[in-house]
Amino acid sequence: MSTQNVQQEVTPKSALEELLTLPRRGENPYIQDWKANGGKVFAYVCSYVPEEIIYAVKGVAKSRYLPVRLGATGCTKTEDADIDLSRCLCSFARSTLQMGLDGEYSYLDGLVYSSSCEQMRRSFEYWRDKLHPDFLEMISVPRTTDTQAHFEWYLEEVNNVRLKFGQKYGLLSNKASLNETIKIYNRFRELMLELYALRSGDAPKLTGTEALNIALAGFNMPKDIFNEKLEAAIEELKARPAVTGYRARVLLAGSPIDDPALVEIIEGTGALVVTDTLCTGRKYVEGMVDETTDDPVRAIAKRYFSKETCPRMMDGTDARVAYVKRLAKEANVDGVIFQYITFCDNHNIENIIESRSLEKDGVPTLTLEREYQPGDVGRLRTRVQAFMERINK
Amino acid sequence: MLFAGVDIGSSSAQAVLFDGEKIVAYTSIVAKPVPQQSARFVIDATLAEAGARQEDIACCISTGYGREKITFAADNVSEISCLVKGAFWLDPDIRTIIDIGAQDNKVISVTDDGKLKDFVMNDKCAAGSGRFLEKIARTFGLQISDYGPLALSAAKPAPIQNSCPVYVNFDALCRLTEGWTKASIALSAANILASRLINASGKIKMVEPLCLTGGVAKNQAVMRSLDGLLDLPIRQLPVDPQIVGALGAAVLAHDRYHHKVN
Repeated sequence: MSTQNVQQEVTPKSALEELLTLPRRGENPYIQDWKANGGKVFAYVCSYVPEEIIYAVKGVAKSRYLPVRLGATGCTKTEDADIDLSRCLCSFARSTLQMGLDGEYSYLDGLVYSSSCEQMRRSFEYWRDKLHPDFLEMISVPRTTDTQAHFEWYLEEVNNVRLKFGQKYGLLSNKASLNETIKIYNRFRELMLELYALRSGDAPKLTGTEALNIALAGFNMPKDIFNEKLEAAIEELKARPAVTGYRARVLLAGSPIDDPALVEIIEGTGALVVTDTLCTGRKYVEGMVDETTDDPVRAIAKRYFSKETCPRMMDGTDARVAYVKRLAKEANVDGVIFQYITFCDNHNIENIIESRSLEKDGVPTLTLEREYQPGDVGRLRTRVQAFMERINK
Repeated sequence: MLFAGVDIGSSSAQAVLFDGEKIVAYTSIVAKPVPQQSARFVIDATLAEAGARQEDIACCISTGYGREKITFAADNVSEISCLVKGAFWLDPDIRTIIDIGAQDNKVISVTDDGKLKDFVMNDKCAAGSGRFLEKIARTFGLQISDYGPLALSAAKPAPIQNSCPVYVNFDALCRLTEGWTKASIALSAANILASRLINASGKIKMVEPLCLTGGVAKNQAVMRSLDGLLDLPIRQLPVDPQIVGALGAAVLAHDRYHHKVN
């Protein structure tokens, strides 16, 4: 028997194709390259962790730090995590711990948590006590954002973590490296907002599922490389025909979403997700860091502390209600889909407040309860399909 | 010319044949493990009852949780819209529908022209759904059809707070050992189901006339309890409340065939 070795002509992927299909976690070629070059990779868990302070650490070329957002897409069970984390904690917290226990994050050199919610704070404790990552820090985030004292507290927390990197590895970000990083991240935000504009206009150029896949690539790539790819991808998107055949334009709100499967279920019923108020979406890319100050760490902290708030904050509910209404109007949506992961109390209760206010204004809303892994596809599809039938007029 | 609606639920399946003016035949069966099996079986039984053949069906619409798998259906529509269509066809005055199925509860409001206005469904939990009563019935070795009469024979409800179909068994058995009767426990469970449903209706403003659909609407104890909790009178539909979804699908099939919108 002879085996034929056919050398296949491989057409290189376009920037857009590459961003849409970037492999996850340890399979991600950019993370692999980074590690192969001697760089370190740190995961952060929430958008109150300022990535710039990690990315700005400049050692010699071979020891740079890459921040990536911690995700657990593809996690199918949480039975080991459930031993330590009660089943009354959200399935995102349990899935990330499970994948940690399974060794799925072996490419990580460390993690930076923030005290954003109890669920993640508790899972932090098991990372500390059971998984012993090389570097593990927690940023304590105040629960109100309206006083200078609270900001100073947050700034100190951020700066402490920045200094911990120096103590641990002997490398520290400096003013020049921070300023350079700020420029890269601000450019990233500009480009992502341009991508939003391509979705939420009259003739959307991409689906919500595609947009989330691109955002996920952005979470897991060095931002300067991502920016180049995204610029090219945006040109590709502009040149292609608009998305057609959808039944309704929707805004997606609620708990963080980093799994395209959920958006696929929603869009599979004929909805088109044209915008969102998610902390893994629009809230992640809105708000620039001031490039003109003499104190870059303060400027970075300021941006993260004064961005559109998470419902874990005690204040800001009115602002968040106004925010969802403004985005719904700007993107000319037919309805708003709220969702929350079971036991994500912050988003669950916030969803009720926001949806009542929208309904009062005549904007149809739907609220979905879900697990981090959207296994019960049928139950979700029935609800979204009925919602489409409702707003089909 | 016939129009068919099949409603494949998690616990039961129904088919209705409609000729544009009246219900020609209908069948309700206990659901089989695979939706396609239920659909084939229930439509064949209904065709046999009508003395008709598959070829006589001009258009078929499927609904219910198994709706996407039915190959002989031209399209599938959610059970929420089908309930609106069915109830409105039966009684154009209806403005609110309470549907209690095996695992999903819905409160649905209907526009003056018979469209879906708004709806709420239970969260990711079968507490207070038909499954909850099934569980009690199974614990007591009762036929579900005997549940209502037994519960209504109770002098007063047993103290049970749990609405979870899994944990309610522990409560029920505990009360039995304390000397409470099966009837008292059954009545208590019917009351829990009714009050959970009213509380869950949340954002829906219930407007009369209101009707009940789904298998649990046949349970007299739940009906009496809902009647006591609701300020609005409950209007009886002139058919088996379990076939309203399938009927709505059949009426939709008719409308689609004749190119009426929605």
